[in-house]
Amino acid sequence: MALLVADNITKTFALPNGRRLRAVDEVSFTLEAGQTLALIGESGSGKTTVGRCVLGLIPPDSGSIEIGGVSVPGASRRARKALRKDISVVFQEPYESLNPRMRVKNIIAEPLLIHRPDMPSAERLETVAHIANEVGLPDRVLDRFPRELSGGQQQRVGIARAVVTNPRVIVLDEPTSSLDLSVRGQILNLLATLQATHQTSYLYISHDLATVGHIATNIAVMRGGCIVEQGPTQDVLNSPQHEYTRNLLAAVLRLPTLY
Amino acid sequence: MLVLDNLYTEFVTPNGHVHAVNGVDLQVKQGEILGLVGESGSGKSATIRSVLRLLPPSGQIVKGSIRLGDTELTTLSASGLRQIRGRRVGFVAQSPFGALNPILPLWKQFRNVLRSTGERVDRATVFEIGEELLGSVGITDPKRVLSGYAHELSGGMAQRVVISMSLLLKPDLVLADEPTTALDVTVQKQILELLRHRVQVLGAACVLVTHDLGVVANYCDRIAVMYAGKIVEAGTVADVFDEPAHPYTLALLKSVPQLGRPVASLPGGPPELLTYPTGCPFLPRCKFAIPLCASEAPPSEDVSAGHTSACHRRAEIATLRRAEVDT
Repeated sequence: MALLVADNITKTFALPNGRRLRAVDEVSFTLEAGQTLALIGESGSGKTTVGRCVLGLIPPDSGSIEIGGVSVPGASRRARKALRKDISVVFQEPYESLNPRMRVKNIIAEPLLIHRPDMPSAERLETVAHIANEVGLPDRVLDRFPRELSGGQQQRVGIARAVVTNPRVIVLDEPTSSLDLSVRGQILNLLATLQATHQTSYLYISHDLATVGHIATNIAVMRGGCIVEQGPTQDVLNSPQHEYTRNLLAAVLRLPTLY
Repeated sequence: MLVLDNLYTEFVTPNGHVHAVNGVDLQVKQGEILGLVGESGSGKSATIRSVLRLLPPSGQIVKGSIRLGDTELTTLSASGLRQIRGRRVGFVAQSPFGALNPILPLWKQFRNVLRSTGERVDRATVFEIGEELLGSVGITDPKRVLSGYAHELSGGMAQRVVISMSLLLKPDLVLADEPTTALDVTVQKQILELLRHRVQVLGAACVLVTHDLGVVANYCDRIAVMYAGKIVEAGTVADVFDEPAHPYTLALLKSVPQLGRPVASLPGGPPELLTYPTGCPFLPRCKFAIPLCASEAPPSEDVSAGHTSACHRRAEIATLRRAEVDT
């Protein structure tokens, strides 16, 4: 039994002209423990909407999503809170997703206050320091505010906050696309290391096939709300079956050689 | 066409002067696309914004010269600069929505650009010129787009409109500051092909600022790599990609995501440039550093004809790289 099972989910939104937009159209996929599924697509393909459904932020119109056998849509308030301990998220814009009035250590500690309220504060501080160290944040930044950090450090804070409760699934919504090229590699390597240590599953949302090649176990290509192709990473990259996947691969800018 | 000679631009901040551009020498020839590459904070935007003096109030050119043809731009008056902006030098900013007026229909923005030359143009003429130009950048319904507003456009459409506007007065030189960074890969491809095509049709030159070496490899003729406010390596795209001669260029090349290999990471970040280091600014992140690098800043010298590198070990980088690949 897969850890995350999305079965036939559909989500529509009302448009101002009275029609309905099918943002996600009968999408199904599974994600195994410790693996990464990359959801690839361009702006408007519905990939972020899928991520929001999986997180329980918006309910799908139809279809089911289960994490470890527990249904996400329609869960009771209490069940949803319990689920949120098992699933967390890292956003595209690190700065926008951090509270500007909280210090870094409190941002990282906040999920623990919610999900582990009985944890003694000394242990909480220790956990925060340990996680900060694990994601490569120097101790001195823990007392700072998000604006005082570089873009790469801000994203490390976002990742630390996502892993602090030791979730089973993390939704990564374009976690590197707003970062500088030298930092992008650092963050990708960090995500791979964390996955190897904690056996976390990633739902990795991205528009960039080249970046996900090494982190993803499986790739699902989305277009117009539908998954047009999915399969093991090597199969999708080496012998794409759908024309749209081939177009996406052709648009990846290649270097003359590998350095 | 455009020659920057020993250019220095500083920003005044509460913490002191930030030396954003530190003695940049750069030439752009007619008909070529020059890729200006570097990380955030390497000074590439400050360099091209200095050309049109589109700097924030805290920024100023302190030294050096910028010549466009026979015109010296650093000493030009504000009204003289207005004759240059748009007419001889077009500018494409990173965010198209930041460059468009949200409350004016697009045809009026086109009209304002056309009228800036002092010519009286009526609505029909604006539509005639605008429709042709938007059609040439692949917009299928130019009349409707011109009558509408910026918020009705997708990011890719808006960037096409901005590129069209920057070409409206047929400039000799287009400065494009990360024009495709915010766009999807397939749209990026269309925009870059379009930019290259328009530049060729007009016989113009283009400086394309980007941090994506894949873009440079596929769309540029020459490349200049910036680090800490200096050009550390420059040459034709063929020369630099064949035999990178600066450790920073090599590190950037390794960090480009490519299918079929892990993304390498370059640890650390560029220096803050409040005080300029005495030795090589790349020293703390360089794996090929030797003692000389700490005491003496490497001058920019030829590796081969037309290919320069500011590295003490410029002649050995190719060998060092191969040794690294072998192990």
